[in-house]
Amino acid sequence: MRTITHPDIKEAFTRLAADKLAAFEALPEADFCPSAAFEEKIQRLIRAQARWTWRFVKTTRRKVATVIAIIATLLALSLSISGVRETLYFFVTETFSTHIDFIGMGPCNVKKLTEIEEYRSPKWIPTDYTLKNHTESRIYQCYTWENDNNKILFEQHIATAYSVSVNAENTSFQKLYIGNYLIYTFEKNGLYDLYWIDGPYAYTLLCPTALGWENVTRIIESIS
Amino acid sequence: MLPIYLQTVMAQMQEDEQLALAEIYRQHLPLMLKIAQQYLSVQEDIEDAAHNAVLAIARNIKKVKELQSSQVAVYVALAAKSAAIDLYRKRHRQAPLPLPAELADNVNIPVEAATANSYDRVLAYIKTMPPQYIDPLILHITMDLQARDIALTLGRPVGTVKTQLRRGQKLLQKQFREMQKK
Repeated sequence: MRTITHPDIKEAFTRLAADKLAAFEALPEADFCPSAAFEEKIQRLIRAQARWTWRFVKTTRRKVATVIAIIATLLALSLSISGVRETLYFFVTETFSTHIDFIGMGPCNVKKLTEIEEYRSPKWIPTDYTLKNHTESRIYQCYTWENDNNKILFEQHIATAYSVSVNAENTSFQKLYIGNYLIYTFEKNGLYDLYWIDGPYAYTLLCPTALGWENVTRIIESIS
Repeated sequence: MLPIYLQTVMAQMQEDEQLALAEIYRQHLPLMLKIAQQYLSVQEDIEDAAHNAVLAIARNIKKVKELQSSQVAVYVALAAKSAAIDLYRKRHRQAPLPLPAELADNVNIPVEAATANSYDRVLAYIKTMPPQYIDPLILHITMDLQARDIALTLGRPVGTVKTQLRRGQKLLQKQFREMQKK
């Protein structure tokens, strides 16, 4: 915006301002003494200038900052509630005659992970199994334990980068809760295949049915 | 973390701003109160208006240069007047605002009554302009405040102030050109 700089106009406004001020000053004095509460409020305001937060006093910025803080807090808190967490990250399943596809999905408004920030694994495995292999990359990790006859396989993936196709022919499929996790299970040829999502990560556990649900549950609950 | 010398400078700036605000408050509180009293009758409301005016001034304190100047007094007075009018409107949402005659901006001074001096004629014309343009123009032209600062001071939306400044200046320029032709 161009400002008028002509001296006559500036002079006119200066005189107008002076006239206005004279009119204001000629007004009758306030017929009361400012209250102690008012003085205290003003002193608080003056002192508050030393803090950076004072710019948020009584402003739209404060309202915006408050709303953002509330939303951020709710989002952070919601991740600790399994019901909400599962709605944030979930599997989309597509069922075909021969197989079922699981595709990990996440919320659009949350930044997607590009690498695993928290590597997790079962802390309890039946004692007759020994760790045979562990591979780890930025987006995936896998543990394999073996005993004489069987093996247990555990995988951790980034949920939104995960998709798997499970052969569903001649399998018994069910959904069940173990702890807070909604787990998709397949039982076939003496093996359990388990798939679930916890927060931004998708997990897979393959283990022999001979272990029994009690031990499978114990393995899943020990993941940390 | 800021370097220590910058922290010192910033602390000094904040201290200066605090001192400036305290000084403005000390010098001009009576003026703010008497202006607010023209619009509001309850003491608490008058004090609230003065508080809002101090808050508006605090937000623009960097723009206030010479504390003793009459410009600052005008600035404080306009801030107090706007804060008082805002509060009055809040208290009487539906009621029209009766402006005391001595505070009215649209005092009709006929242009032809002005003297031969160019600035007198300009002044006479300004007084015929729509009143809502006048306070923003005073702050813009005499104190070089920008629309954002004026909006903070007068408690008006920035867009409104920009429009008022643009239209006000357009009217002035048009009138000024015509005066020069004559």
